[in-house]
Order: sequence, then structure tokens, then C-alpha cells
Amino acid sequence: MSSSTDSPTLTTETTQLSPQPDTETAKPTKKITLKSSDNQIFEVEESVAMEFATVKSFFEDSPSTDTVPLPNVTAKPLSQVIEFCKEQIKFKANPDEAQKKKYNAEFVTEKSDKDLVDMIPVANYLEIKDLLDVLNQAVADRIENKSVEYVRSFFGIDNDFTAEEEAALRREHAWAYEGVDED
Amino acid sequence: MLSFKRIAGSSSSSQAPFSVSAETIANNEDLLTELLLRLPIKSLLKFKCVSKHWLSLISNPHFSRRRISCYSTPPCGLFLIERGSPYAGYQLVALDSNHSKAPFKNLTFVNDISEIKFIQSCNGLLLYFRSLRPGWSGGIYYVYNPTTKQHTTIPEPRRAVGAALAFDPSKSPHYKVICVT
Repeated sequence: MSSSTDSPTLTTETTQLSPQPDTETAKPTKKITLKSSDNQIFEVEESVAMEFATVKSFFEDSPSTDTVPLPNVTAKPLSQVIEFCKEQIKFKANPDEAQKKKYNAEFVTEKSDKDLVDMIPVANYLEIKDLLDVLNQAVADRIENKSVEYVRSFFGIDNDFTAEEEAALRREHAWAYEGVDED
Repeated sequence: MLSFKRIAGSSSSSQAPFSVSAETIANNEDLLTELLLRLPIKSLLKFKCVSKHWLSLISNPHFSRRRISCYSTPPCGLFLIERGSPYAGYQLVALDSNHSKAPFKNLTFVNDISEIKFIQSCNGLLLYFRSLRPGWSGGIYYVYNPTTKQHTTIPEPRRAVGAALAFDPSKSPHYKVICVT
């Protein structure tokens, strides 16, 4: 499909490439296989996989492999991360900041708290900075008006202050505890 | 004192989180810092009492500096004297749309507002003068951080005719007060 549209502008390259037509067609559609920790297989286009810095460096170290095991990543967050990166590739090809912002906002709005939180360690492990920014901001937005007790149970944190210490901290910035959303 | 569980540990906490990943984030200083950096100042002050770990991360000057340079949009407002209110002090009247994110509502550092005079505000710090003698003929200069409620006294310059404050946290954590004598 690309040869008919591209041939008029690619005169010099076409003559060089014509003896090996598959290098031209195979490159953009090359698939990379990612294997999650729960043994699910994901076939993604190379351009998407290269968005994951961890996968990219894996290939730079061992270019002959075609399956990348991701021992820290389960299938569900991985599929959502792939979905996000596929869209980002489109925005890379056709930059449209407004559309990208809109997509990023919708991507997080429709996710549950658990989905968002589950993607953060995955985005961190795969080193996808844009996604990590989006996820961190989304989780921050969801907890910013919540109570201290809600945040403790959200993150599984034990309160290690004495009652007096906590009361003193609350007195210091009493206004910050006003207008808290219901848990 | 309770210690934090390691990432690999299964949920054996008395407060099991709704997701193991949430616990992973809470136990990973880098991940937690990245998340906290995106919270408004009001939430950060509130979440200082989540745990000692959160208190130390949020109070760390490096954290403040990173947050100021990358993520904060400074609130914009005026301090107006509201007489007869329970506070009888300076109230912050927000001039921007997200006024709920301003880190304070009023200035409560002095009992008698009639004896103080604001000289300048600069990137979150205030310089004010407190008169000790009638007619503003003598007094003390203070630098005050209304967010943390910390203040410091400037060593009294002899017969200062004026003072100005310079503070740019993106350049330096230090402020300067210039006194003209």
C-alpha cells in the first residue's frame, strides 16, 4: 500500500530498495511479543513497544529476541498501558496538543482508582514518563480533597503518630482540614 | 515505632490497601514523591499527619524546591483588613479562580494589627515592619512565611529608611533583605 502512494517522492530510495521489497514493507509492521507475569501474550507493533524505555533497552542489548518477558507486570494494567501508548504514537505522527490533552483526560477519567494505581508501578518499570505524569496527576486529583484517614487506608499506611503529635499537626494548619470530601 | 513493610511483602498490615500497587507506591520513595509533588499545598499540609514518613517527605526543603520550580501555580490575592470579624486580621481575598488552593486564609501572626505595616510580598514570603514606638519611628523588620507560619526577625538596622525583600526559590533557597540607611 505504501509503494503506490510513496513512489513518486522516493525516486532515489525506491531504486535502491526495489530488489528487496520486504525491507520496506516489513519494518513498519514488525511485531514485538510482550509476556506478562501472569503468562499472557501481547503482540504489539514495534513502534509501540519502543515507547517503553525498558523494552527498548532490552532490544538494544539483545536484538535477536522477539519475546520480552515482563516479570513485574500483570496483564490488565499492561493492556491499558499499551492502549495509552498506541494513541501517543498517533499524536507523535500528527501533533495535536488539544486532542492529546483531551484523550489523556478521558483515559484517566474512565478508569477506577485501582486501575490508575495499578498502572503507576507498570509505567514506572517500563519507563513511560508521559503516562507516569498523567497517572500521578490523576491519582493526586482523586485524593487531594480526601481525609487523612482515607489516604491512610488507600495506601495501607499505619498511623505512627501519637494522639498528641497528630493533634499538634492538625492545630498547626487547621484550615487545611476544612472542606474535606466524604470518604 | 512501626516500620514500613517492604515492597515484596504481602498485605499483612493492619490497614490492608485496596490494591497491592498502592502499597508499592507508598513504600517507594521515588514513586511517592512524584505523586505528592502534584498535590496542591492545602492537601500537602493536611497529609503531613498521614504518617511520619509523609511528614518528613513533605517537610523536606528539596521537596519544596522541586515542587515550586516544576508544579506550583502561585495563588494570587490581596490581604484586606477585616475589622470586627472573629479574626480581626488580614484576610486573603483570592483574585484567581482556584482560591481554595491558596495555602492560607488569613494572617494570624500578631495580636494587634494596628502596629504592623506590610512592606512587600515576594514569591510566598512577606516582609513586614512592627512598630515599637508611636509614629512608626522605630521597630523591627520581620520576614514571614504564611504557609508554614514561620517567621524571623531581621537584625535591626540603625535608622533604616526603607527595606526590600528579594526571594526567588527557583534560583536559591535563600532570601535577601536590603535595608537602606
